[in-house]
Amino acid sequence: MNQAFQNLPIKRKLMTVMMLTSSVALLLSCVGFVGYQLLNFIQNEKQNLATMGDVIAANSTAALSFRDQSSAEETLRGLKAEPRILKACLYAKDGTVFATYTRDKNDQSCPPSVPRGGSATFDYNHLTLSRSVLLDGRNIGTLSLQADLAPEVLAYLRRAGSILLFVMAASLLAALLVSRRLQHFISDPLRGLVASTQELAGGNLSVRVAAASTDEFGELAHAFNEMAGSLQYSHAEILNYQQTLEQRVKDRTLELEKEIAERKQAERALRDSEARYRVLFDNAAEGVWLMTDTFLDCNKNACELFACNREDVIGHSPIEFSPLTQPDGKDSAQAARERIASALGGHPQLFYWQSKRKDGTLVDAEISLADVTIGGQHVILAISRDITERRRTEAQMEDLHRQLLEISREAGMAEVATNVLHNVGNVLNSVNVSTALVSEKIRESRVSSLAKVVALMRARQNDLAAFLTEDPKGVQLCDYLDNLAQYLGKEQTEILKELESLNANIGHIKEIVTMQQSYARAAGIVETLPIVDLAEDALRINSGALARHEVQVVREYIATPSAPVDKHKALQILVNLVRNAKYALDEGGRKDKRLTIRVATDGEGSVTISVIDNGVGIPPENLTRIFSYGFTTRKNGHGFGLHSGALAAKEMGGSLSVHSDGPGQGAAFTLSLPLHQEHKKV
Amino acid sequence: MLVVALLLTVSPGVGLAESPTVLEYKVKGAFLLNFAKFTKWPADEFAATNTPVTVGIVGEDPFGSTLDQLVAGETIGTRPVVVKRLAASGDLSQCQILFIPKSADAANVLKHVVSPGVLTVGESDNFLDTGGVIRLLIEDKKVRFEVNMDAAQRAHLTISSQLLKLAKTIKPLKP
Repeated sequence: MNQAFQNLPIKRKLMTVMMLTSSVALLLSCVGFVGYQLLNFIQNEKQNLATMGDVIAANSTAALSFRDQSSAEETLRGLKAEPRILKACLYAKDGTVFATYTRDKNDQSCPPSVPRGGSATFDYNHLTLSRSVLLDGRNIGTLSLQADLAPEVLAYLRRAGSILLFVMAASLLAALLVSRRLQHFISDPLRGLVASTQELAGGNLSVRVAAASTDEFGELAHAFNEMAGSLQYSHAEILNYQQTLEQRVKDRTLELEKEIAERKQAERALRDSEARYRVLFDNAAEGVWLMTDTFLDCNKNACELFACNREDVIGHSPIEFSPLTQPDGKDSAQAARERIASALGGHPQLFYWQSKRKDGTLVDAEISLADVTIGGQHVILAISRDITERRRTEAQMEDLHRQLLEISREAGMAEVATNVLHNVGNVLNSVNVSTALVSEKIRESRVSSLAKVVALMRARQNDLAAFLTEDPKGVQLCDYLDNLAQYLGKEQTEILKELESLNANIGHIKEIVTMQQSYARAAGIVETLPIVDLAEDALRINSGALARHEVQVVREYIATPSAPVDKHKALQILVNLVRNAKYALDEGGRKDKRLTIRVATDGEGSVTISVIDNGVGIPPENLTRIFSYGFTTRKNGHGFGLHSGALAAKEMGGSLSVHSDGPGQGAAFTLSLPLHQEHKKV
Repeated sequence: MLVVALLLTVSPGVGLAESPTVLEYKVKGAFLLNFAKFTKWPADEFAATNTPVTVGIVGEDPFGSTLDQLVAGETIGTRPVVVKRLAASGDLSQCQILFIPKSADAANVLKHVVSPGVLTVGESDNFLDTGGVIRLLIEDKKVRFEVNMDAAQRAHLTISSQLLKLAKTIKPLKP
């Protein structure tokens, strides 16, 4: 049905739509009207029945009053004229049936008495109605009527139906005529459009539609014309394009060939590059891995390091290639996890690691881990170097170093001894001068003159008085003795003075020797000492050299703390620093050579002793290696003093540092020592 | 049967053991009242709307106390009903209903009804001929009545067609 309708020509469709619409509208209004009429009819019937009931009731008052049943029944029989009335019944006041009437002789039953007269019920086409029988305004009984409305309703419906049919037929006819007149307003322009479209489809692109109206058909016609226009234009374009297409295809083919060749070349280059990288990767001297928690890839060397195949490595955890614990006692698995996590966190790791080969042997390696991004994923680039050999060499180096340390210590001792001897020698020089002076004085003494006087006096023993008073020589003798006494007194004073100096010098020697002895004894023993005393000792040991080179010594004792120190080591460092400063001052060639020794605390639990000179200075490139073993700028230096000094400072839990603004700017060496003794490591 | 039913409805207090005569007069008394309900008196008959309807009994009273019991509390429209026992002398027309029993001389009594407005009810066989309006009679053990339309017109009474419908016979108006 639906399909059939869809296939109808639009003309028919329009007419059908109009007809159906008007029919439905008409039908609906008819149904409404008939329904309304039916309701009205029933209401009317009710009213009629009520009126009839009232008449019967009024005519039954006397019969009911006088209890004349036959008369009452006769009155009811009057209802025969009304074919609708099926039953009628008169009830007495007390509810008993007084008189009945039934159309159907076989059915003698009474219609029910509806209480409260005047009400009506309607069911199954039966209308039951009750009316009160009133006499003098008093209720003396009830009349009940039952009517059958079905025949009436049916008759009415039949009548209404036939009218409806007639009206429908008439309206449809009218609608048909009207729609026939009106439909061409729609179908004509449509047919015109269809014809034009067919013509267009047939290939005539110049066809146009005349727009007769401004409605949707007018718009459609306009749109059609536009479409046809653009189609015509496009067609021309296509023809044009077709002509150029061949050439373009040729061009494009050439381009593509070129592109393909280029791409091939690029691919080849990429392959070569990849091969190069692979060679680089595989032949790297180090073991190289890419890994996360497990290994993703590795090179040949990495396999060799673990003494296994690539397949044994990839997908496995580095923990599988580690002993349970590292030489420092840490748990390998935990340490490895921490290292990996730190590396992934962006902190490159460089550490010593002991790995376990597949065959169980251990191998020492230096591992570096760095976070790299490959294809958007964070992975770790691990590089490992087998340092088993290096560690062996290092051990040998350490041995050698120890030996050297021993030698240098001896050398240091010798140097100290030289210093001591030098100092003692200096003092001995003074002693020598003093003794020469004293012996000279004594040699040149006038003691012999006194002996001559005594001999003269002995010769004149008998007349001594005369000699002293008369002889001219004797007269002068007194004056002579007086002069001699004066002279000898002076001489004695001079000798005593010289002897005092001598005594002082000898005391000095004794002091030097005692100090040397005390340091020699104190080696390796930690005692709490005033640091200023240490500084003074260092200066005193070098005092001769400092004086000889006319160095001005400035003491800046900002703090005077005591600290637990290995006196021998500390003094050795300081003596060395002072001596170095002296050399630096010599090298610098300045006239105002100044050496400052400063003792201070840094507020962080350390005491600092700085030896500052204004000498030759240190170029920046040397600052970093100045503490290295073997570094020296002196011709006869062995490059060990500062190195051993730094080591010794470290052994004491302190440090040795240097500062210089550059050549000619002097230098400052600072020994920093803890104020409180730390728990000494074993 | 009608009588029994009537009695049961009208006077439910009356026992069945009463004599046929007592029953008969009970029914007749009820008829008297019902006649009043279907009869229209002339407009000047009553002084006021609540002027009672007077039922007069001439001579020997066959109802006894039955009629008094029936009218007690009974009204015709707005009017109460009173019963009066009268002698057959003087003007009897102040009653609205005048019952003339068998024992009385109907012709004589009717002479005393000098003015219209009286519904005369009698029992004697020739009551209608002597000028009475309604005659009560017994037929098939039922109380029936006959109406003299001429007498009713003379008495200025309008009797309801319904009542006439129930009448055994109606004596029509004289042409």
